Amino acid sequence: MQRTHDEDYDYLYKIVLVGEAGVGKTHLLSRYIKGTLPKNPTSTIGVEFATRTVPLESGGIVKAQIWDTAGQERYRAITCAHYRRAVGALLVYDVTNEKTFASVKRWMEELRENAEPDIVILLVGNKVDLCDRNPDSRKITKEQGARFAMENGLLFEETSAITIVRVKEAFEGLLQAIYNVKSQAGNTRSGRMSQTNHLATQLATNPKAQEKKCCGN
Amino acid sequence: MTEETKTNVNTQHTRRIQQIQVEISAAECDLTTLRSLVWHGVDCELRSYVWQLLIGYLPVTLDRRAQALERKRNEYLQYRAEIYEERSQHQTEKHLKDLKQIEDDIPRTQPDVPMFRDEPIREVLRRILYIWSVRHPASGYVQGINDLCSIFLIVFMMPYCSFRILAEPGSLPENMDELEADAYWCLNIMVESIQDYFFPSSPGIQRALIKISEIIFRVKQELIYHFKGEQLEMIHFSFRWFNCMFIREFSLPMLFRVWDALFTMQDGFRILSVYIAAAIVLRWEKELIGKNFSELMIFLQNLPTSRWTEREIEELLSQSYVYFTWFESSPNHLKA
Ligand SMILES: Nc1nc2c(ncn2[C@@H]2O[C@H](COP(=O)(O)OP(=O)(O)O)[C@@H](O)[C@H]2O)c(=O)[nH]1
Ligand SMILES: [Mg+2]
Repeated sequence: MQRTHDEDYDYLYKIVLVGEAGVGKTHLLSRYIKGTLPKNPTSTIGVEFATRTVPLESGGIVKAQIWDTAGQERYRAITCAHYRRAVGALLVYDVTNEKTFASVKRWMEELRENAEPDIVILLVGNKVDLCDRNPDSRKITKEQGARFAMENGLLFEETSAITIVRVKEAFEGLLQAIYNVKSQAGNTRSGRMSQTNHLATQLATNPKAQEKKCCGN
Repeated sequence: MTEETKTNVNTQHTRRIQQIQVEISAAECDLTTLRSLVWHGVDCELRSYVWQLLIGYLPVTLDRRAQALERKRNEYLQYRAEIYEERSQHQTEKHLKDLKQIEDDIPRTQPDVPMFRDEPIREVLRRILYIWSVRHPASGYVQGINDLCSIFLIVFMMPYCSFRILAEPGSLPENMDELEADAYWCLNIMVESIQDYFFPSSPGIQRALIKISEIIFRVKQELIYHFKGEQLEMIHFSFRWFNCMFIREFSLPMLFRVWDALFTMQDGFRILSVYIAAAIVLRWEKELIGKNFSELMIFLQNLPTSRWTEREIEELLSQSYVYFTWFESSPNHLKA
């Protein structure tokens, strides 16, 4: 089918935002996409969707399809259903809340099980602004976050959606990293591809992934 | 609209409200009559009373109502004392976890309604949600129930607030304890009717999703093929519709109209809601058929309903009813 209504881009990457409820996923997304905080923030039910087209440092234009998910335990099975064909994830925790960090491992495992096998995961410690205001509020040090990331092959950032710390860097660093992985794997072609083409290459690299059972359901 | 038809609509409306008034103050309320009147909407003044009758919280027999209310309100006050006030004495891990989630969701509940930025109403919400979750261990607190609860609170407060509750800040009505109890019980009855929407992995919602898909397929096959081609699934956009009963999809005054209709049908929140969802999708079939995945998602998650008036809502509801009569009474229609 002809797609004339979408802007031009070279790669289409599906990215999911995951992590416990309340860590700031929706705020980070709004900050990145709209440049502002959500006007009237409500809790995310099911999935919320946004796109942004970004030029990569290495050249080429990527369209990011970002899926913001609900964090409550109860919604996990549903959330997993949205991981399919994701090539990247921001796995967010709250640096002032130990519980949100403790559950990072489980989110990571669920991502690895249900998304693309070579999914690039960026671990994000959010709400650093709170620690600037009151150092005692920090429960997870930067080192702890970085160590977990290193041991598990994740990328790492600390951010604030409120005071705008490394939000753009987080999203775009992830997109670049996905590109790097894909190009190493020989999955991308040089030059601009037709959009239908990269839909086929990026979204449907692994048709088996579709049949995978999600989170034991 | 000409002046004349406008006047006609107005007189019709006034007459209907009068009829509703007569019906709810009759010695024996005839629910069938009340339902057919309320299908076309009810005023904010009467809405809370009407909803309480239709949902079965108030008895149909007039002179049993006061007593029933008193009993229910006392029962709730007792929960409040035992389950909420003394919570530290018998709190489990699960209760604490639910309370934490409730805390997180309270500031994210009706952020557009000024009153919900104040602590008094937040405390009411916290109590209702906590008590509800303790009394429903099979599901516990589920995100979205806060939204459902807020609708009962707003509608029940409306007749007792001297200010415009949707637009202005103000303090709680004097009889708030009673309204809180009423909101708890009505939430309770309503959620019970769609209990399996809130069980792990939401089996009830999953079934509803399959059903809308079938309805849309019967009316407009191409649309379903188009969705499939774009790898768009119902769950991507309509999960929230069911989980929050359209609260996030319409302005509050219009949402109240949608709920009026849901209350008028036996098991409306489970059955009619699916036809409303299908009617929403089908209403925009021409636009949707030309959109790719991203455009579909963005459209369906941000329905252009913010300027909707009664008229568009009426149209949507009548269309939903048409689909309901086509398919619900003869489910074979749904099979190819
Ligand atoms: N101090 C601070 N608060 C934040 C930040 N990001 C989000 N929040 C707050 O955390 C709460 C939950 O945010 P939300 O984006 O809805 O979390 P989600 O459930 O992960 O989507 C809201 O009350 C936000 O105001 C941040 O960077 N710093
Ligand atoms: Mg969110």
